[in-house]
Amino acid sequence: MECEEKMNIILYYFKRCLSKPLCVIIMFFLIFWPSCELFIYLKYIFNGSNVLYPEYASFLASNTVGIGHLPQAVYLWLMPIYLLILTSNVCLEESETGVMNVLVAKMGKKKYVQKHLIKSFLISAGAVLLGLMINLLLVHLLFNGGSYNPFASYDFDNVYYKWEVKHMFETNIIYIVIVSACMGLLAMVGTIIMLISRSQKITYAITLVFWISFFWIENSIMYVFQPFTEYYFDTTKVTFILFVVVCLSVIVGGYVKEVHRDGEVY
Amino acid sequence: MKKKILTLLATVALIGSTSLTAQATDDNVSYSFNIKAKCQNTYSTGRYRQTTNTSNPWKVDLAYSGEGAGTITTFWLAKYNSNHTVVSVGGVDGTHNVKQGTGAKYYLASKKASQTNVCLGAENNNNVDKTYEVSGYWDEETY
Repeated sequence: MECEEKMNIILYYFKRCLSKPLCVIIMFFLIFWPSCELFIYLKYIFNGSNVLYPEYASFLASNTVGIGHLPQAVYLWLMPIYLLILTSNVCLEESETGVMNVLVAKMGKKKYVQKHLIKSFLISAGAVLLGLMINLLLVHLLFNGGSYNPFASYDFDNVYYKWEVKHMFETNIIYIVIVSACMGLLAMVGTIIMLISRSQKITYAITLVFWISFFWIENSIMYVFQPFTEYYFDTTKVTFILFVVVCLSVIVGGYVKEVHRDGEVY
Repeated sequence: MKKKILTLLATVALIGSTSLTAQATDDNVSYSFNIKAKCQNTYSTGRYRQTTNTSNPWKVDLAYSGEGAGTITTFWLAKYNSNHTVVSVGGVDGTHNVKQGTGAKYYLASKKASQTNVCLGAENNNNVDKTYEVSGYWDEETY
């Protein structure tokens, strides 16, 4: 029963999200942008270039060349902005319009915050997962039979790399799940900061600084998101674990702080 | 007098042809530049590619990379003009991944690279916003 209620509220937020033109544009962008990269690969083939293995032409593999991985930069580097507009702005609206007080009085602060967190995770991770899975499906349909491996000339003596090359499809799926989950966590961080601060400026500033700090560290979070490279999982796992732990700490810490906020209905 | 002029002309022609032949051998022209961040490509200074033979390969050797030992950088041959049109062939749309410390790699170029100034183009194969230095040797034609 409770599960059904949670689903209903998530569907409510999803419909509400789709009622705003900007959110619809962002949703479309998150779902279809990865597949737009295929036009670049098709241009390469039209130019007489080798046809890549479908797995190497996936969006996350980032093998488009000469444009500095621009499609991935537009999508992944700027992700917090899209996710904040998509999932966190609604918290501020509810606070400003007084809807928050009504809902908190009805369901309690804990459930209210939980539902916002779950909604943010599902909408963000879901959109990214769908976008990357559509890309993987299209890559397999369009480049079926492609056999060029841009790393074939070299040996990489690493157990993780060898596993990735041996299980390329599974590797892409694992990376897609990792990226989607990380984006879901990032959206939850943005949502909890918005619930605490009730300020768009503070939320955007803190979330962007949070993201940029993982983006610009020595072992960037971007290495975690790119399969089939010389940055193996034994190097990238440190950043991945750190990102998950810090995100969960912020979410749990923020949740505790928000549900114990003085002077409001619990 | 006529004989002297002919001898002089023959000498000039010989010197000229020798110098041209020297340019077309497998040379080690050193390069050193920074791979740029923020989705930008990097280009070396230009060299004249004299050959019209598309089976005459160009080469690149990534001897040092600030990204680390055994890391990869993507290279290609481009026209030395403002458009930097890719003139190498093979690989992914003419670009090739080169691993640091694996010696000289030889790749082919299209007819667009005949008797024109060309340069080395490069970018990081990873989707990150980092600048690092690369250096090594290249040659626009190897025979």
